Amino acid sequence: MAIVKIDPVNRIEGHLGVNVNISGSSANAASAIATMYRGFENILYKRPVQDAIQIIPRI
Amino acid sequence: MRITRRQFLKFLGGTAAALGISQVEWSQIAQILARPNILNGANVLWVQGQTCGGCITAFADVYYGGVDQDDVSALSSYTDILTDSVEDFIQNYAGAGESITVEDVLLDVINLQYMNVVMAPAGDAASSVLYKYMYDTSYPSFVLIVEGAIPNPNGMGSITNGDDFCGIGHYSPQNQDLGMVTAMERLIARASAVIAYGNCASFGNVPGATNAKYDSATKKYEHTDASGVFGFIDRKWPGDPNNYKGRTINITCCPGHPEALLLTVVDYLVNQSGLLGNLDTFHRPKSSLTVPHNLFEKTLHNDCPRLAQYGQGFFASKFGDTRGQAYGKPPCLWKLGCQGQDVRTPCHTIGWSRQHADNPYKSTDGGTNISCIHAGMPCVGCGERGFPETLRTEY
Repeated sequence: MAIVKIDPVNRIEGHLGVNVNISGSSANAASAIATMYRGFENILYKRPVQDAIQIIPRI
Repeated sequence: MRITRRQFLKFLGGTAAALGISQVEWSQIAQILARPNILNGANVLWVQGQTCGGCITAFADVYYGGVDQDDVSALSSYTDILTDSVEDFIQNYAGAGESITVEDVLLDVINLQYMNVVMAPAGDAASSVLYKYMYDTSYPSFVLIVEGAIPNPNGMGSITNGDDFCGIGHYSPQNQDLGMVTAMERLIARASAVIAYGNCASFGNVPGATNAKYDSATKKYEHTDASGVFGFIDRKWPGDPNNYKGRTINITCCPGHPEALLLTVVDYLVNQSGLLGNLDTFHRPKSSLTVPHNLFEKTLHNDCPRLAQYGQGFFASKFGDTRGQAYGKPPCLWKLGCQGQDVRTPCHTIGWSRQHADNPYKSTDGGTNISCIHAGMPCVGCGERGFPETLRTEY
């Protein structure tokens, strides 16, 4: 069983990888991988709530 | 979306007119841009790190046809003077009516080799280009445009060198995951110039925000500790012995102003050493002889539409303060935390959303510049180092 990894996926905003499990000539499973992390929930932790409107659009 | 070569140059002429580029220099630039395959082998790689994608969206929105060419006529008194010489040159050199696609613009003007959002291939076909530029020294020189922040190579909370926070591809022949940190280590060393586009790539911006979430078990703050290109160079090569900073240009603001990026690329093509030798303390481009502009030299306060109200002491007391709106004199936003006096970005010289003529927040002072202050929001300093720590929530 082979895993085919397609990364990067083009023509999208952001980062994405796709893993496809192939056995024989058919695909058994596929998964999408989010390959980039910034931690917005941690960034917002204990900030004044009004700051969120300036930080969240940068998601 | 097909725009003619004339329309493209006319739009650039409109931008140039707003910034005061003179006729003589513009025809020189137009000569460079009108030539097909001007780069003679120099390529551009646009690599995205920890980004929201806003920078490429802003750039694409302007140059993929988000601009109605008829709006350039709003500056017609300026463009007529400039485009006479440009049109003469187009008639003689490029031919009237010769049409180019947006792809021609991206491939001929800046010869884009790799860019996630607009490129045709995916998977190995795309990551092989990145892999070859990273590891194959026989590949030609290139200009690196970095969008987005770079995670900490010391691995703050990372189990690798920071690559696990931001992967940018997988190269199957070597079964290797390409990460942003590894890519930056190799590409910054090999690039002939690095353009850090946007505040994330310049100063770290929101991904590099400090936060208070402290994990007492691992005794670490839970953040990726991202930084811009300068911060990455400081961490990876302390002291910068190879002077990578000397060939790094920062285009700030969040998102980066797309006109600033294009003018910087033009300046790089026309006069590379002049551009790299003419940067301010934050390595933002200063006005040059070939591309004179004042993108990052004047503060927002200098050209603010509400400057008169500031001088009169007429300040807004709350958001939605409508006093003076009826006379076209809305109050100054200084007391709501506006940082326009400290921020140097082209938001008031180029502005945003130039084409929205029916925008209800269109400025009443007759200009086509659109900025946050026109919309009634005080400047939060997204174009300066230290954002978002410098947010001043006075409300």
